[in-house]
Amino acid sequence: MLSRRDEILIGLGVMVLAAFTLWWIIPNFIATPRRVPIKALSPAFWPKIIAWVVLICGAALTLRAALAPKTPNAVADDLSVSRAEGLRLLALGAILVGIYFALPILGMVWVCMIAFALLLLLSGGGNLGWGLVTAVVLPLALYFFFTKVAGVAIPQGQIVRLP
Amino acid sequence: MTFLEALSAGFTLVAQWESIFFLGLGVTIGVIAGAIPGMSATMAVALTLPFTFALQPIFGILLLLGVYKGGIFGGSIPAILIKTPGTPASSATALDGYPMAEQGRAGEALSMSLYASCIADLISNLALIVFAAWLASFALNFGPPEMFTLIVFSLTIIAGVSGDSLVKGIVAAGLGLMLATIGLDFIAGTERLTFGSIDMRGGLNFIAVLIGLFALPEIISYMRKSEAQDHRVRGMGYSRLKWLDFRRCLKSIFRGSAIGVFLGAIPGIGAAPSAFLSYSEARRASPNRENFGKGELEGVAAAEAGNNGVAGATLIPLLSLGIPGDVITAIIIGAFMVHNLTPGPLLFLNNADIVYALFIGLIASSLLLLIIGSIAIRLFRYIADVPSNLLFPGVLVLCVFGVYAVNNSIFDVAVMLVMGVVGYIMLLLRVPAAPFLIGFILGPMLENNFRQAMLMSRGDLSIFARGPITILFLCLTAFSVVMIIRATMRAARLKREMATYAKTSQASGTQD
Amino acid sequence: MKTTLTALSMGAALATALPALAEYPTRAIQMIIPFGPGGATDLSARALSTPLSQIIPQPLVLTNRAGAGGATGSVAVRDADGDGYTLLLARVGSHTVNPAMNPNLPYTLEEFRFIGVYEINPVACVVRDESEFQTLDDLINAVQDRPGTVLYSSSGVGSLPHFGALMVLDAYGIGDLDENVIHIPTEGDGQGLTAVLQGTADFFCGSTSPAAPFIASGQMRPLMVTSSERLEGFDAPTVHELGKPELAALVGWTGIAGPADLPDDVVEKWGEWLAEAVQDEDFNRFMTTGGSIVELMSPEDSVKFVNDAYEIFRRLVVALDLEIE
Repeated sequence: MLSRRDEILIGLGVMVLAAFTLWWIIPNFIATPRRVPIKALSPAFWPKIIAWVVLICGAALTLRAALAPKTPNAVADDLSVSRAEGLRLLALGAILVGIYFALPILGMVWVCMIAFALLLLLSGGGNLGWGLVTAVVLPLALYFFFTKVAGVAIPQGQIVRLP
Repeated sequence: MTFLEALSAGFTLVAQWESIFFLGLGVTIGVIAGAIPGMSATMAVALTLPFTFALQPIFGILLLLGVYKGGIFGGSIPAILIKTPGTPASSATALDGYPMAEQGRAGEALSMSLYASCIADLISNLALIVFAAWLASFALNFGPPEMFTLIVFSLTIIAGVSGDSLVKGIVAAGLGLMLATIGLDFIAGTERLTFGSIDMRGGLNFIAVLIGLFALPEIISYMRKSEAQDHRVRGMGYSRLKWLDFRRCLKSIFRGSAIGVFLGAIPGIGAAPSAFLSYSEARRASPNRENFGKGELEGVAAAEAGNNGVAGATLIPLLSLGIPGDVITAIIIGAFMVHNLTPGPLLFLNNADIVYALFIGLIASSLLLLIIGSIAIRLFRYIADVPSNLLFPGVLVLCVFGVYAVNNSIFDVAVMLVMGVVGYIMLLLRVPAAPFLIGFILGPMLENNFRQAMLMSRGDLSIFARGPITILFLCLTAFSVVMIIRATMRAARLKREMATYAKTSQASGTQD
Repeated sequence: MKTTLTALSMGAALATALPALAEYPTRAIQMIIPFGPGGATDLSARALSTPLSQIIPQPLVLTNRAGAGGATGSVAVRDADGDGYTLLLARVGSHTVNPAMNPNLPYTLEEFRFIGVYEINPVACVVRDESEFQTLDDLINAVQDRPGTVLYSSSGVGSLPHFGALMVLDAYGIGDLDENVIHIPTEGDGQGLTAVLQGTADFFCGSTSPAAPFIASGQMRPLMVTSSERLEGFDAPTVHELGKPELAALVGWTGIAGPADLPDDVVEKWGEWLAEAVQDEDFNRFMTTGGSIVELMSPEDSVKFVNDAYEIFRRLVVALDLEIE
């Protein structure tokens, strides 16, 4: 359970998101053909309905949270992130973004080995030895399984090619 | 050929040791492929297809059916162990299976999933044999208006998987529905929400969204506080399924199988809606309703029964009408045609021996699934013994390979990563992920059938009340909505009373 | 980047065995099928790959990259290196109908080099067995007498069945197609035919192969085929018998193409391999069951064939204002 303040913010956030979709994204990014014989067949018809439903639900969330009795703070879950946690989340985010951009350059096997090792270090636990072995063996095993058995061309990258 | 002659000819075909060998081989391949995220049952069947060209027709078809059956069960293994559903249909299994694995009850969950799968599979096969002709003519009555009302009814599942807040569940479903509209417009062919990207023209890949939404948030939350819960080993699932527990789930298994048979016979719905519908029905009927989503055995049983109940029934439109019910059966049609067999009414006349051999083989496949599945469970459950700080990076690597393999697209990997972050934010804000997924699965079916119906009637809404089927589903929907509103109001009242109670007791207990 | 790659792979080849200049192919060849598993293109490709993989010294990797009516997979091949290791199974939908109907398509025909069209797939117009339409004339009369009540299904916007039905109606002088017939798009041939079978739509004009089983079992009847001679199993007049020879251009085809910068030696090699593969008995049996005609064209003929078909379709699209906006 979240605190009342957080719930109100979620409700408002949902409303903002829905309004943004309704009045900016849909008019700008859904092309409507010149002739639409029946209104319900327009490409924007369903997205608009969905956005309205979400908007109304956002309002309901806000209202309900505002009217609800105040939850004792002791019971509510805390959404705040400690400094150490924040740093780790940032590092993890960087690793995820890095995976995507490194894939075409290094190839999937090498990227996954590096990502595995980085995550292992980030988690800060034990089993380093086994972890490093897994970091090398797992992507290689998956590579051979997918290319040789399943016939999927795993991206190879431009530096070192595997057989 | 008389019925008995055909039956005995069919029996002779299956009784060869090769038949059982190929069926068993198929089930094994299927279970392994299903257990690897990204290697869905569809892909495994497509990969096996060329090998069947060289085999005798009956062996080739049994091999493919084995892969199909095994793949559908195999998907539940990673769903339970690492919350990475191998197939969309097993995502309902993850809802309760993964919490069970976290509680050290993976063994129990896996066994339940296997037994539920085998029972549902058997029921589905029997339904195929007994009711094929009847269900097929029924399925032919499902035009776009009927499909639309059925999907609208299915959307009421959202209430069953929303957890604490129904409104948040609807918001999540809305986001899922919205995401499903990305791609080329179904009728006008124009671009919708593609933001100019060529990759997004085809829509977002299903498996990428699914895995991103379910598996990645677990990795992110583990990474965030890994030090606090270091070396958490879940203690593998040597937990055994108790007979009493199994027995209390039987009702849900039978209900789920029936739902699966019904939905499977209608072409184009697939296993995922069936699994969720079965799950939400089980929750509605269960005395342990509160425990669903937190590791309830019955939830696993219901989801797997709904999922596997489809497997035999999708062959009904295939064998009796020649219509593929889903992508997998579309590939199996190819296998029939390679061997000069024409699926459809003629098959029963011209190749009755093959049809009966198939039926007998299907029944045998349920048994083989039980044997091979229990071996697979024994091998796979060691995964739960892997320390968390090795397990989670491993899951990430597996997801990257698996999601790429589905469509050979690096863009899909990006979709998975982004959805992972979205899923983590939803987790933080207590927005449930399951309604999102249901919206994403049902969205295109809802919209396309609505629009096809509108085209048929030239915009006249009365087409949605054109026959007994549509009216039945509209009434069922209205009934469910009323029930949901009543249940929600009751829960809200209860919560208010508890809050007042807590406040008064707090006020009396402390100074302020 | 491409040069580094070539240099590296040459370096690797030199380091290992020193073959004069490693001959194509030295590694697995990826064939991209731009449609989903189980579709006409997929089945055709998988049937062809069986004899091909016995001829080609390296493995063939078939990959489905479905989406956007074949555009996603086609673009993936266009953007691939022109080294012969990434090839496309081009199909009438992705390389004739869609380019003709959709001006916003992210690729053009010139961005591909054709290795060979190997299959021609006539179009058949089919109705369900109980249909009131006994001949194509019945259908045309119904459209004329009761405009806006006859429905046809297709496998999607910009697909062959979408265009096919319109081309046939146009040949019979029916104008204002938007008003006179109603198009029900579906996802794929299977669903389009199901719509006819269950009565959602009245007719379907698409490739013969997915319709063949329904015809064989008597659930559907063909009204017309676009082949020059009557097809086995399809008891329907040809377009020549109906006096509409211009409809003979309405055929499906499947071929193999690569990125525009595909080298000559690769095209030559593939020409030899294909010539051998299309002789395979099993392959031929499979293709003819579906009403297809196995006919291997040289690269030059293939380009001409595809371009001619495109021109005819394009003229019609412009004349009838069928463009997708």
